[in-house]
Amino acid sequence: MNKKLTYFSTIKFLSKYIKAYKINYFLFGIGWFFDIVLKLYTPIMFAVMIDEIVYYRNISVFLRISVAFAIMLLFACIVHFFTQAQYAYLEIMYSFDIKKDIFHKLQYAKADYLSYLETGDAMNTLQYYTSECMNFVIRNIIHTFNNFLALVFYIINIFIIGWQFGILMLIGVPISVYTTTKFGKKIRKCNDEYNKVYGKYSGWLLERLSGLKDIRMISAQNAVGKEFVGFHRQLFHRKNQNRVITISSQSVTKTINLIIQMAIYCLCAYLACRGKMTIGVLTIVLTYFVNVTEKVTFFSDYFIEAQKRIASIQKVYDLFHVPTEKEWKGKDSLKVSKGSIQFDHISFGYENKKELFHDFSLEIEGGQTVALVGKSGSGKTTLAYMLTGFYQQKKGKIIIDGKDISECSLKSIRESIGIVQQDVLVFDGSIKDNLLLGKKGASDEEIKEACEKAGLGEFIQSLSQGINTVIGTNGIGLSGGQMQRIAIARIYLKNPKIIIFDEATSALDRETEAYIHESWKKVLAGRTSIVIAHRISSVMLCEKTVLMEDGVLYEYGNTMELVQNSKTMRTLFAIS
Amino acid sequence: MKKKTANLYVKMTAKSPVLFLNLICFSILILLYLTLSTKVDVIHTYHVILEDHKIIIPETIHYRPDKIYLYENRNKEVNCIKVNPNDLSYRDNAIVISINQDLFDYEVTNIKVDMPVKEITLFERVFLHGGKNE
Repeated sequence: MNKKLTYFSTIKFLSKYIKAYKINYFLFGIGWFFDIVLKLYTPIMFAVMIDEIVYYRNISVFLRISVAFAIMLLFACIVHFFTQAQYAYLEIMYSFDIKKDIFHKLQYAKADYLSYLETGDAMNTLQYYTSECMNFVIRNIIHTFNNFLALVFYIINIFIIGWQFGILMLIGVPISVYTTTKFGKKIRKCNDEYNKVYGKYSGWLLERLSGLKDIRMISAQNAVGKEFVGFHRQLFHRKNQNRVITISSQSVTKTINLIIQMAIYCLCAYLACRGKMTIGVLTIVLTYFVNVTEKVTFFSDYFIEAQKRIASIQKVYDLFHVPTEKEWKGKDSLKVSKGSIQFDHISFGYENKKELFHDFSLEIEGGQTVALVGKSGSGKTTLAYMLTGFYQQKKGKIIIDGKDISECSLKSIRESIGIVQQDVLVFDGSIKDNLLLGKKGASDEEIKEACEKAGLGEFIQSLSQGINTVIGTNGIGLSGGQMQRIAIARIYLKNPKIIIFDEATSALDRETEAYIHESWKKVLAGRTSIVIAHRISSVMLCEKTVLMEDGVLYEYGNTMELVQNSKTMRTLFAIS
Repeated sequence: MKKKTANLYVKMTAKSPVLFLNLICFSILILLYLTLSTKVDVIHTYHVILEDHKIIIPETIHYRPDKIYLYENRNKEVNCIKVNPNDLSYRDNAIVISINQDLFDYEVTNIKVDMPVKEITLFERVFLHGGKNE
C-alpha cells in the first residue's frame, strides 16, 4: 500500500518532472505574473484618468495616461501569447515524460502485479490522469502562488486606499478560506471513491467490448446490460455526492463574499456622501473587491480541484511505485549448453494467498521433453514462469545447467528460453516485422528459413508480397494454426535451448493440432522442452510427464508408463 | 506550415527563453518609462471662505498655485480658476486669492477648493499611493 498523497507530497512527487522544464515553468509563471500585475494596476490607471477628466477636465493628462495604458496593453497581449505558447508546450512535454515513465514501469512491472492490474484503470492513468499532473502544476502550484501574491498586493493596496476596507477584507478572507478547506477533505474522499469505481468500470467495459461476440454466443446480453446499469448507478451516486458537496462549498463561500461585498458598498456610500472618496477611488475599491472575491473564489475552486486532482495523481503515484523487475539482483549472463533444469526445494505463493509450492523439487535433464499435467490451479504455469523469472521463489533455487538463475540477468534468462502460448502476440505489421520480435536484425533468408521449418512456407509463397504481407487487424487475418506457426517460427529465429509450450494448441481443432505437432517435433529436437497441456495428444509428444496437484509433484515418470499405469493420469485425460 | 518553419516557431515561442525574457524585460522597461515620464498633479483640498471677490483659505500654505478648482459639491460642478501671482496675498495664517469674476450663488459655509500643490509621476501615483491623490 503506497502512502496517501497530500498537497505538499504531491508537489514533491511532481517536482522531479518540473526540474526538466523549470525554465518553461519559470517563464510561464513570469508571464502570468506580468498579466496579474497589469490587472492589479489597471483599475488605478482608470481611477486617475476618471478623476482627471471628470473633476478637473485635464484632457492632456487623460490622453497621456490613455496612450501609456494602450501601449502597456499591447505588450500585455504579446506577453500573453508567449505565456500561452509555454502552456501549450508544457501541456505536451510534461505529460509525455510522465506517460513515458509509467509505460516503462508497466513494461517492467512484476508479473504478480500485472495479474492484479485492471487494464481500464491503467489506461485511464496513462491517458487521463497524467494530464492532471500538468494541470496540478499549472493551476494548483503556479496559479495558486501568483494569485496568492496578487491577493497580498490587492490587500496592501486596499489598506493604502482606506484601512476600513482592508479590515473588512481581512475578516472576510480567512472565513472564506476556512470554509473551503473544511469542505475540501470531504470532496477528496468522494473523489477517491469515484475514481475507484470508474477504474473498475473502465476495465470491465474494455473486457466486455472486446468480448461482445462471446457475450452474444452465451446469450448473456441481459446480465451484462444489468452490470452496465449497475456500474452507472454507482458512478451516478458518487458523482452526485461529489457535486452536492462541491456546490455546498461554493455556495457557502459565495454567501460569505456577498456579505463582505454588502459591507463594502455601505462603507463606500458613507465615505462618498462625506466627500472623502472620489469616483476614481470608488472605482478602485469596487474593482478590487470584485478581484479579491475572484481570487478567494479561485482558491476555493482550485482547492476543490486540487483535491480531485490529487486523487487522480494518486493513481499515477501508485503506478510509479509498483514493484518492478529492476529489483531482480542477478547480473551474470546465463549460458545454456545442455539445457538441464533443476527446481531445488523451492517455495512460492502469490501475494495474500496461501503458499502454492512448498519444498518442491524437480529435475529435468538437458534435451528432454517433459509434459506438465494436472488440474487447473495445480501450479503448472506458475512453475514454468518461475523458470523465466516472471515469478521469483521465496525459498530454494532454480538451476539451469548448474547455474542458479537468481544470479543471472533476466535478459539472459529470457534470451535462453522460448515461450509459445495459446494467445500469440500478432500486431499490425508485415509477417517479417512480426517475426523480427524473435530475433532483431534477422535477414530475409533467415526469416524465410524459419517460416519454412515452422510450416509457413507454402502459405507465404501463396501471398503476392511474401513475408512483407501485412497481417493483423489492418491486414490479412491468420487462423489459430497459422498464428501458432508464427510463434514457432519466432522460436526458430530466437533459437533458445529451452522451450515452454503453455497450452499452445488448446484452442485448435484436432486436425490443425496434428499439423502443429509435426512442426513441434522438428523444433523440439535437441532442446529441453516443457509442455503444459490439457490434451493427451500433446502429452504423448513428451518423453516424460510430471503430474501435479496443488503445487505438489504427484507423479513423475515415463509418459507411456504413466498413461498405462497411473490411475490419476488416466482419470485426468479420461482414458478408458 | 513546413516542418522547418514549425520547429523554428516552437523554438522561438516556447523552447528558447531568449525571446520571451527579452520581451518581458522590454515590457517592464516600457512600463517604467511610460509611468515615470507621465506627470500628474497632487491636489490638496481645503475649506474656504468666500468674501466679495476673494477666496480666503484659512491655512498656512507655502506655495503659489497657478490654478485652483472651486466647488461646493465636487460631483456636481467644479470651477477651474486661473490664479495670477498678483492675485495672491497672505493674511494671518491664511492665503487670499482675488478673483475678477462673480462668485456664483455659493453658500458661504461649505465651499471647498482643490489646489494642485506639486507634480508627481504616474509611477508614484499608481504604485506608491494606490491611485490616491496624496
